[in-house]
Amino acid sequence: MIQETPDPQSFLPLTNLSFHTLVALAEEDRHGYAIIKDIEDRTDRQLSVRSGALYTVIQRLLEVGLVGNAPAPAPVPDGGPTSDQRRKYYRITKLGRQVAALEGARLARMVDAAHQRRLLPEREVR
Amino acid sequence: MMAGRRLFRSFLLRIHRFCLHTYPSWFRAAHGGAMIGTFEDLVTVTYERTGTFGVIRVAIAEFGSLLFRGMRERFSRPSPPPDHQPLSNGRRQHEINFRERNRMYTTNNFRYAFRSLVRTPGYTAAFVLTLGLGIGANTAIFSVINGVLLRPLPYPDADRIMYLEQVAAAGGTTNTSLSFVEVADYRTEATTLEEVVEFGDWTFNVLGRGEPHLTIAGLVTANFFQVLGLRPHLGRTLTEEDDSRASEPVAVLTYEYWVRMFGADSSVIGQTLDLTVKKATIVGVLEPGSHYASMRAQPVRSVLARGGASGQDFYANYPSNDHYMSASMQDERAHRMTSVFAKLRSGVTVEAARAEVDGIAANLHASYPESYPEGRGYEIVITPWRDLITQQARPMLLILFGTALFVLVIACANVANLTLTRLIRQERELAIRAALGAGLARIRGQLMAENLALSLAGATLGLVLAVTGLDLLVSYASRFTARTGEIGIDLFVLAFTLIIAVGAAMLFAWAPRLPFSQDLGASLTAAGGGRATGGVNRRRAQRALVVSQLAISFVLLVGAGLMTRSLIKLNRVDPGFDLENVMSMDMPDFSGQSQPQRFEFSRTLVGRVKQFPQVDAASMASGAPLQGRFVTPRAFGVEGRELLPNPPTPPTLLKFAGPDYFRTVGTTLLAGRTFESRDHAEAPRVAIINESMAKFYFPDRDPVGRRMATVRFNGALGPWATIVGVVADTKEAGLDREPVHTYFQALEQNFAQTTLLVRTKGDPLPVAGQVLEEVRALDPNRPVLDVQTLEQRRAASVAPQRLNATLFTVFAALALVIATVGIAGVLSFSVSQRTNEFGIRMTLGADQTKVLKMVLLEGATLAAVALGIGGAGALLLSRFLSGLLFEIQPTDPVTFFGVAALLTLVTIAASLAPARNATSVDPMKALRAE
Repeated sequence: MIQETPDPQSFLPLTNLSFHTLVALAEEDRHGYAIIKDIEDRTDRQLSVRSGALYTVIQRLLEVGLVGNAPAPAPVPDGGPTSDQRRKYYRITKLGRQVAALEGARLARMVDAAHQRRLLPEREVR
Repeated sequence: MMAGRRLFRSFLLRIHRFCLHTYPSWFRAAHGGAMIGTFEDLVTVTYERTGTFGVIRVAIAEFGSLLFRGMRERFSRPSPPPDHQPLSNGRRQHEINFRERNRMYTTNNFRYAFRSLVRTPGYTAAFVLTLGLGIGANTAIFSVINGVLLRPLPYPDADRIMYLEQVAAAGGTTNTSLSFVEVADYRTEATTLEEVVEFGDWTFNVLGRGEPHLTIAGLVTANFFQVLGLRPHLGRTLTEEDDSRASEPVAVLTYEYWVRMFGADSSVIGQTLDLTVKKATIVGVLEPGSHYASMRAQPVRSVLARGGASGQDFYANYPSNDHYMSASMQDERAHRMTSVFAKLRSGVTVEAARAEVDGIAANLHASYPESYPEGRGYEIVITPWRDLITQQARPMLLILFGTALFVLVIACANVANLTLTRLIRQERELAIRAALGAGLARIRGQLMAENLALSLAGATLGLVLAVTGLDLLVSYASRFTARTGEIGIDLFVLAFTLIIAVGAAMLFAWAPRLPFSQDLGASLTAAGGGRATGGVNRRRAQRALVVSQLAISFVLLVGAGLMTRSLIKLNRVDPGFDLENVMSMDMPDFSGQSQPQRFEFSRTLVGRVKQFPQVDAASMASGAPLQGRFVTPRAFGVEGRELLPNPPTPPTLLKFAGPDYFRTVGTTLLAGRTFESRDHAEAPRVAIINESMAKFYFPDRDPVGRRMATVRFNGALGPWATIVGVVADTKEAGLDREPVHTYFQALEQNFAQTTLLVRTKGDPLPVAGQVLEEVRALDPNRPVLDVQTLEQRRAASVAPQRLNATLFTVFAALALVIATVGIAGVLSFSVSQRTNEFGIRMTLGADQTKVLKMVLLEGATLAAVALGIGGAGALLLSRFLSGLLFEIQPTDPVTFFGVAALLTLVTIAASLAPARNATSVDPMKALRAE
């Protein structure tokens, strides 16, 4: 059987939450609540993530191979509020990194355009 | 506390688990555990950060999200995605963005559901109406709860804003306020408080902007704006320079007042605002926002008769007000009149602030014993502002919400019954489709789609009902809390409604599974025989549903009955006044005239009004009866009797009354005389006391002729007055309260008063216009407000109780109607299923009466069981109402038996039509059908 090599470009554009999830996992392996917290912290609570939405996104990301399951790290003495085995950790795949990077670049180009047309304060365009 | 929190937590987790069932089972298997873990983390963290109400908000948002996403997942992908199957690049994007895939499946389900529902309009209408009523009641009440209790206050770091009260618990005072001197001490010494704000609630008469009009203003220190995060739309807010005693009066308008009175004119900055006595310079206009600082609920505001507006009109610095700038206010520790807000330093708990402030208070008490008489129990109470502003509304709203939930349960039980009945009728069709290979999952999906469509239609109807009833509920809530500005249908309320609707749909999708104990398919096959099987289980389920509806109706009816009976009792209370044909009106004086001039005004006005042919008597006084204001704990000294070091301070009403006051309001004189025109400023001071006060201070002697004096806040006695009369007790402080001590002083020996009372021969209101003309003739700048008859005042004083009784009755009636329809439905269905049986019985010689009796007995049995369960439930639950009842025990037998009788009657009435149908069965036809 010939395995088709997935083209990272074919995943774009990502939904907002998919992108944020990939960004959250780009730093380290995280479980569900840690992803929610990371997104809320990064966006100053402007984006509040509900677990119902997050897990449907995680399911999609798992299916298409942008994210994989990760082993739970060794327990840290003063870790999160609870730590039981039910927690599942997720890890971004190589493909996931490529897709997130492409999406980031795509968004950056849009922001650059806004700067150029003076919708945003002027700054040096890369 | 901890146990309660654990219980609540496990309750939330249970709902969470329930909501997870919206997802298809393969999804639950893959992520269920992790999702529960995530939710647990979320609850734990939110508890620490924002407490119970925060958790409720988060939980509702989470549940809404689960139900919505779960349904979407279930309908778009009922079976798990194939593992390790490479997808084409083109498909991949769709996978992530949830598009296209299996859309056909979902659409088909809904299309089929729609078609099948159109074929049964009766069922559809009954389902949507019943559920719509239940959801409407809940959405409406929930939107109030959301706006008042759940939402954080609309200020930054609102949970750090505290309200400081100084109570003298032993003296019976809940809040004596603080003095400027005390505030200064707490401000310098308390390190846990980042800012301490002084706030004075004040009513100004504003001149020169159209008609003279009364305004609600806040006298504030500059840091008020910073603590509440209020920013200027125009100009500036106050600065520290504005706080000093020497500074000029300045005012900052609220956006709403600016728009209303100044037509949003941006040139107002720098103009003067004429506050009658002083003139303030307008330095700024605030951004739009909600203003709750005065915490005035509507009853006080309606006195100002402004209509519509809520909260402050403007804020001004203290130098704008003479009273607050007086030497005694500024320098005396015991002259307490300012309210205090404080902001906790970041990271400081309320407990830490309480501990520190207690320590400071103890030091002050030791250093200035004369300002804190021992035995009064002076103490500073720190309460989060949001709790304080809503504490009066909380119990009532929660009780109402409980009631609305009961109505919803009844509605759901009824709809479940309908669904059950419908499914039995559909058995054959479903069996055929199953046989043709539709598959169990497919059929279940269709049932779910049907229920979902109906529930969402019900939710839409409910939303419409809620929006319609919202204004009514807002005016209701405003009797209990100032915080009504944010009540409305927001996304959060919509999420709540969605949760109910989808939750109900899931429940009804399971209801049909009740009869087929395990396997839908097997039952369906069994049903293929021809006519419905109607097993024992199914009938039992239907009866249980009917019984639960009746039982809950019982509980609600008892609640409504208790409230109504207490309202009746309250209406029968003798207030100690003769309220008929008496009118009162207020004409506040902001002119700055001298006392003699003011007395002259009062005398002339009363004299002219008495000349009217329709008028019997008229008098000026401090406030109208039943206003219930100015009751304060107060000690009195009696001449010839030594004053105790810590005299008792019973709640006492101080009242100033002119000659003829008692005749005007119809209060009986028990001994001595009433005030007369000879009790003028130069004559010896006189006073009149009521019966309770006479018994308290003169238990064994006639008080007439003896002298009394109040104990002032500095401990001195005075002024002395001779008691010239004793009058009967009145219910001044409220019809549901015991009479308080009342000390009447002769008006002209004290200060001019502004409430005019007029007793007429017929309806007093037509005379009001003439009185108004006389007032205008004497002083064109006087506002005349609050013209009401005393009977209207009496009605207004029981308005909260009347509203409670009305709302309860509406809910109970709703419940009763739904339950009645439920009984009738179940009995008719049961009769239609037993047509053959009745036919056979009648062929075998049973007469019509016997058949009639059989059906009625079936109804009566259901009622009897329901009465037992409902009675027990009502006994358990009615005590939660005890705080709202007046002279009625929560277990009042009259109410209980009355409700039982009513329910029995209703059940019999509901059984009559089905019973009549049973007797009209034609035996031959029934047998032939067999």
